[in-house]
Amino acid sequence: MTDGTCARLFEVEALRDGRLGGAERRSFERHLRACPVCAGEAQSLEKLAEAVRGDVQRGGGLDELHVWRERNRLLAALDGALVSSKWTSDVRRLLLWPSAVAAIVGAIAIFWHGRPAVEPLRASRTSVRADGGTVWSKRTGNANREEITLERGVLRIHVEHAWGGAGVIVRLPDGELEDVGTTFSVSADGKHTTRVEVVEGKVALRPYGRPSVEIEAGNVWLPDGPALIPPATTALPLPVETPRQRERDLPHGSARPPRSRPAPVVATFDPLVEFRTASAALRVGDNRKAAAAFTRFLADHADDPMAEDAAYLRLIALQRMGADGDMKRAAKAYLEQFPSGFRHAEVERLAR
Amino acid sequence: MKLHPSNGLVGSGVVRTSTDAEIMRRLAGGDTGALGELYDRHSARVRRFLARATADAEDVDDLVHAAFLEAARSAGRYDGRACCHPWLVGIAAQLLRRRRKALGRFLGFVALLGRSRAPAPDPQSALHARNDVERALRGISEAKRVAFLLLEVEGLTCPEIAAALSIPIGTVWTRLHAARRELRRALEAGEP
Repeated sequence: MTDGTCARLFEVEALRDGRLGGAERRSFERHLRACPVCAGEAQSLEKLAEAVRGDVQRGGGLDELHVWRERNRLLAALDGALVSSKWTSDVRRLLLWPSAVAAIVGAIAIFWHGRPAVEPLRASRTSVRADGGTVWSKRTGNANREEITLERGVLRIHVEHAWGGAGVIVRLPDGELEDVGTTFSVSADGKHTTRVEVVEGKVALRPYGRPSVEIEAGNVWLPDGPALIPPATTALPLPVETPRQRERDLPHGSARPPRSRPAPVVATFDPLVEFRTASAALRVGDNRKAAAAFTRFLADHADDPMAEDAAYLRLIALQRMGADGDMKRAAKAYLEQFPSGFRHAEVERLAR
Repeated sequence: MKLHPSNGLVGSGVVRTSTDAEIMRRLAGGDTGALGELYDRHSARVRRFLARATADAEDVDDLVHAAFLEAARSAGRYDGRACCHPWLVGIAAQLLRRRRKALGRFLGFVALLGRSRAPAPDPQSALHARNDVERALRGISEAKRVAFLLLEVEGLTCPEIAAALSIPIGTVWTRLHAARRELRRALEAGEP
C-alpha cells in the first residue's frame, strides 16, 4: 500500500474494475499521471494481481497420464450420457404408444362405467282420486310427463315430486293445468274448469286465451278469478309419510303407466291424498269439511299409519266447530282405537 | 511416457486446426470428438482456476468434468466468440457457486441436527499452501476468491463475472474490494 493520501485514491480501484467510463475515466487517467499517491496505489494493485497470476501459473502442473485418464473419463461420461439419453428416448418412444392406447382404453372404460345408466326420465308418481261420475284419462306424454285429461267431474291429485320425475299436466276443457307442487283438486263441467284448489305446493293454470295463473297452497281458483282463502293461523302438523307408506305407494315393476294408453276411468284410492286434503281443510279453517274428511279417512283407512293422526285431527276439527258432544265421542273412539296412542293423555282430558 | 491421442492435441506439440467457435459448432452438432479437442485446449486453465478457487479441493477433477459436460450440453447456446475460455470459466464459476450453496445447506443442516454452529473453514488448508500468496488466497472466502481470480487471472470483466455468478455487479465490486484488502493485509502480515 502506498503512503500518503489523495482524495481520488478510491478511483484507482474503480478504474481497474471498469467502473469509470467516458469523461470520468479520462479525467482520472490524467490525474493518475500527475498524482504519485494514486500512481503508487495503481502499481500496488497490479503487483498484487501479478503475484496471484504468477502463483497460479506456477502451480497446478499435472502429469500427462493424469490428463489422459481424465480426458478419457470425460469422453466416456459424455458417451454414457448420450447413450443413456438415447436409451431413455428409445424406451420412451417404445412405451409411448402402448401407454397412449392404455390411457385411451382406460378413459373409455371410466366414461362408460362412470356415466349413469341410460334410463328414461321417469314420470312423477301421481295418485289420482276421482269423484263419482268423473270422466278422465291418463297417459304418458312427451318426456315421460304424465298427462291427465279431465272432461268433467272432480279429480284430487297428489304428485310426489320427491320421486324425481317430470311434472304432471292436466288437460282441461278450456285450458291446462301444470302441477308445480304436490296436492290439489280440480273440477270441470265438460266445457269449463270450475274450480282448482291447491292443498299443498303450487299449480299453474293456463286457461286458453287468458293469462296463466299460479295458485299456491291454501288458495282456491274459481272461474271468476282466484279467490284467496287465507291460510290458517295455526298450522297443524302434517303427517309424515312413513317408509311403509312410501313403499306401498311405490308403483310395482317398471312403475310406469302404460305408454299412450288411456288409463281406465277408475278412482284411485290414495290415503295420503285424502289425509292431506283433510289437513288442508283444517288449516284453512274449514273445520266441518276437515272433520268429515278425517271421518271418511278413518272409515276407509283404519289400519293406515296416519289413522291416529287423523283421529286426533278430527277431534281438533270438531272442537273448533264447537261440537263438544261429537268431539267427546270422537275422543273416546280415539282412546279405544289407540289405547297407547301418542296423544293419549291429551285426548283423555278432552274426553272428560 | 508421452501419450499422443488421435487428434494430437496433448503435449507440447499442439496443433490447432480449428477455432474455439468451430469446435463449439461441431460439439453442438453432436460431434463428441469435439469435446476431446475442447478439453485438450482448455482443461489445464480451467482446472487451475478451479483448484485455486476451491483451495485445491479433492473434487477438482470432478468439477472440471462437470464443467466440460455442461459445456457440451450448452454448446448450442455458445455466443460464437473466438476464445471460449471466459465462457468455460464462467460455467466453472457457476458450478462452484452451486457447490458452495449445496455445501452450505448441508453444513447448516448438520449444525441444526447437532445444535451447534456450522463448522469454520479448515485451517489445515492454509497450512498446506506452497507460499504466501497461496496462503493469502486460501485465507479469504471462496466467494471473494472466485471474483478476484475471475477478474485478475482469468480476464473476465466485471459484467461477465456478475453474469457468470448470477449476482449484481455491485456485489462483484464489493467482493473485489474486500478480496484486495484482505489479500494485502495477509501478505503484509506475512512479510518478514
